Amino acid sequence: MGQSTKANVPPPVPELVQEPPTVPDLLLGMARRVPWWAVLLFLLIFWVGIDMLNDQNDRDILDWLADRPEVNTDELYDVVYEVKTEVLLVSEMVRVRGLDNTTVTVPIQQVVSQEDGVINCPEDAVEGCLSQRGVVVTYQDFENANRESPEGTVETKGLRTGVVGPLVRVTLADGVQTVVAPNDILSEEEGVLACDAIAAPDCESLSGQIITFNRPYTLRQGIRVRADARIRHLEDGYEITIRPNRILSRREGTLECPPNAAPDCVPIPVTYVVYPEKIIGTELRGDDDKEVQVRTVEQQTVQISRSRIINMEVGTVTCDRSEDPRCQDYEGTIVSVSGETFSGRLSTESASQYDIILEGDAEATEFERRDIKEEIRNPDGCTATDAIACEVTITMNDSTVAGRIIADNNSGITIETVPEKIVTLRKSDIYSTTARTYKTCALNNPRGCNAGIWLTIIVTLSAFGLALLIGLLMGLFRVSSNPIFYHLSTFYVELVRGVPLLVILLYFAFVVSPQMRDATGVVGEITHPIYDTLTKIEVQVLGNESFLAEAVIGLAVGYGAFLAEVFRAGIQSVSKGQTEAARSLGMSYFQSMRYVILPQAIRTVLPPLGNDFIAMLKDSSLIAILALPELLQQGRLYSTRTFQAIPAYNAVAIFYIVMTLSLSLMVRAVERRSRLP
Amino acid sequence: MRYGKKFLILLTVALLLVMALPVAATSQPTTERATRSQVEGQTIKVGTNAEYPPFESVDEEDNIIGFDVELMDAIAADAGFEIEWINTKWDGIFTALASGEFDAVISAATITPEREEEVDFSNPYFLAGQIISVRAADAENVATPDDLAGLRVGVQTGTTGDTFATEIPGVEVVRFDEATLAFQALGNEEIDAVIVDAPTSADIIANNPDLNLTTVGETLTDEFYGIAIRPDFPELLDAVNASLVNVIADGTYAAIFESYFGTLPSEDFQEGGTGVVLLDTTDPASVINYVLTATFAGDAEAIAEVACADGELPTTEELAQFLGLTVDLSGLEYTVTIDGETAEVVVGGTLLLEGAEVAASDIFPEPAHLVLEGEDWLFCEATADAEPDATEEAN
Repeated sequence: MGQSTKANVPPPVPELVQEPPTVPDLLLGMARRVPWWAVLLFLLIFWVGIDMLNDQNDRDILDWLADRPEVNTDELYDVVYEVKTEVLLVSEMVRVRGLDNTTVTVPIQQVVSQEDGVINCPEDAVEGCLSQRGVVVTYQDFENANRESPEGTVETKGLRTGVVGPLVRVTLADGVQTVVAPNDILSEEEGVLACDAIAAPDCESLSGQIITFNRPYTLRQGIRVRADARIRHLEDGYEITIRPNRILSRREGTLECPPNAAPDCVPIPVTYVVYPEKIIGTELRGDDDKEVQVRTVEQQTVQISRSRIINMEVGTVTCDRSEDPRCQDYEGTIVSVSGETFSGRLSTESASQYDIILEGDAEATEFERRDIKEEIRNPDGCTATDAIACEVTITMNDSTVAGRIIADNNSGITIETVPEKIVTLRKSDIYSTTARTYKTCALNNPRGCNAGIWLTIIVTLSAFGLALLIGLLMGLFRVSSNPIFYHLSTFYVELVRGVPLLVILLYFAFVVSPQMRDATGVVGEITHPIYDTLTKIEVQVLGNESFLAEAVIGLAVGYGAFLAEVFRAGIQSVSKGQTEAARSLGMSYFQSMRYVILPQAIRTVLPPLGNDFIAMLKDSSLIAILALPELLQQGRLYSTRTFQAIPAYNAVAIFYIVMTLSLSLMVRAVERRSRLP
Repeated sequence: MRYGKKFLILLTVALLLVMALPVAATSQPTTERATRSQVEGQTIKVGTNAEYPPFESVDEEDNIIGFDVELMDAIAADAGFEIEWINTKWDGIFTALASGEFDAVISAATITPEREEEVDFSNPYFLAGQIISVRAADAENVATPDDLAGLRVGVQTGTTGDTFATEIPGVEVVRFDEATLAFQALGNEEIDAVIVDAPTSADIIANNPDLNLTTVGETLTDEFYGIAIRPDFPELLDAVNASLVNVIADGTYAAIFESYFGTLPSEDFQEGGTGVVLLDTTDPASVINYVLTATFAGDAEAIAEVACADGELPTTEELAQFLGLTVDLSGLEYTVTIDGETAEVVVGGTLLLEGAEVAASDIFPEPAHLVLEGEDWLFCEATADAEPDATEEAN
């Protein structure tokens, strides 16, 4: 009741004091409006959800589908940065596949030429020989050389080790044994044959009768399978193989003798190369804007309760190269640990395994018999097939844990088995950023929430917003008297409504998107900025150029046709007399639409819009075909990895039903609010 | 330590003794025609995901065609059962099989330990491996998995390629439902590389020259395809295994292989071959069986596969003296005693040497020893530490 401010009104009736509703009243009122079926469904979900949360395995599934949200994280991105690094070039070689499909490794020194071409099968080829196309490598083959008619010789040094008939047996610097015909020998003298100190730093040089001879070779051809360059990092001697075309620059230099080298050590001429070293890891939150911190190795720890420790001693810890290939052995603690003890009811047992239902668990856990040190059965000697329950207590084998002790308290010790490794890079040193995607989903890093249920929500919301725009526009066109607009929108609606959504998605991803990118001329000038903007948005949302934009637009275009029909029906449901009345009041067409028709039409179409929203939420699972990790895709991935189809799909269904149920309640609330009195 | 050698010397002596015996008249034909399969006349439901040329795909008339289909038809013809083909999705194909929706699945499926827990696999029928495919312009930049760090790599969801790519550090895995879509996305520059089985990659690339793709490097893994069988249907497993051997031995396999891949298959699968039986290294008896088989076949490499790191291997010359003997080891029995990380295998039963039946205890008087490394049992002298070389000196 509005209060009048005028003076000449009758004295006000005693006002009805309306007390503000109490909180329990409000809640009761809200609760009353929730329909019985929603209560029932929520109770069901609650019951199933509690059941799932009680099981570690099911909790893993829920975590996986919801991208494991955390409160606070320092792990911002998964990154691969490239940094220019100077390293020692150890060797270069090519892998060559011959016509007989055998592959050999040829050092670059023996390669005569590499060029694109074809190798044809010889006349007398074996059955099944196919001509091969590719990079043809011509190389000197010493091992299977035709000694009678070689295609060339290379002057080589070797150590005489004996004679075989008329031939002399020699060992070459790389350890290969071969035989030399006397007329190939150029000279022979006492000396030292230096070994390849670059490839093998600890090698020992050979001394004795050194023969210089012409080593015959035959030229052979094959298709290059790959080219390798072996490089050694200067700081820690870590060697890897890279592709030679990643080498940015080469420099001739010398490998100086180490400080503790023998006095007769001479510096060796070597090649140093610069290549973009890949730094792979997790970018951490930092407060310095000139540097980035990348964690390349994650710390791993093991907790051991004091009662299980048998012995602790200081010793050399052999580091785990599967976790950190560049780690070095270090001084640490080696702890002997007695095996854990489990007890429960024996379910089945075989020659190699036990299945035991542990106390407090519903399902059996597998134990390998060879991992078990001792077992106690109660009653003594019982088996799984006995009528009464067979309780077993098993103790696992003793083990050792090596690493650094990082915590030591009354309950036990914590041992770091793999130390964390953090690389600090100056931003100016980063040669290129190969990959940078959002990592951990957390409240302070919400952009990391981009898989599973989050992606489903992002895609559905944005696609539905876009579809509303398309639908409203096309719906207005559908009732337009302008023939161009009318026919255009009718064409769109009939075309899109008749094509399955999956086809529309594939079409946008594999036809429209590449066409937009590759268009030339005038069309290209229009499509390129659109394509680039969409790509930028994708990078903003998911951190990479995925099919996200294609998926959202495909869903929106597909649903736009249905929404256009919904809006048309809504507009047409408002009686024509209202438009006429509005127009006769002097309103323009748009004013009458905006102020008279649409507000009524939208009330009418709210329920079908809500329907379509829920339908789109479910249809968003179709985007999995574009390799986007949405809710259902993640569920399927989990089930193919673990073969746990039933819990995985249960969890997916629960997530969907929670979302659709909340949506449908929301739609009801909006309907109620906007209902005409 | 010296076990390999000692074992071989024993074997040599034993073999010489045996050969000195007159070839006994007790020899009799050992390979009787196998009894008719137990599934003869039944209709077997076979599931496949026909989106994986050249192994299985759908032709213009909606028929499921491909290498797998022809092979399975040949096996069915040999074993005498009828096939009802069911084209299904790859996702969940093993779950469906385990739940009894089909009786068998032949779908270029790699035999993996995880899958073997759910379903049974026949003996391998195809050797394949994963291979990297890239756009031709990038062929120089990528050859090994390490080169893929920082790239977006497409795979088919739930395949061995998916598992492999997921384990490469720094790689972003993009999971497609179908291998063909992954290659399409690669051609459209949406992703940078694809890891899929080598024969399929080669087939898709050869049939789509306008995508301008190429495979690079060598196969990343050695994988065997097997026919998956419902676990509660061992009769079918036996029938399929028996018929697979027949189909290989009579040359049908090689003919099908050649018509799809243009070359002959490897020797084991050519006419007269017996196929390949995967070695179960988690079972000591099968390791010893493998070593014995390899010894008689003169295959030093095969023994090296299951040898201890410090085990001394026989040289090819040592092995050569056993070549050319006709041996049938199927009558051997293995008694395994496992004690922690060591296992003792006593070889019993009989073997047929040049057609003559010989008691195993005559040739293998001492038990063989194995040690456990991780999940695998390896062949070597396990007792070296506990009992110093005394026994060896005595011999």
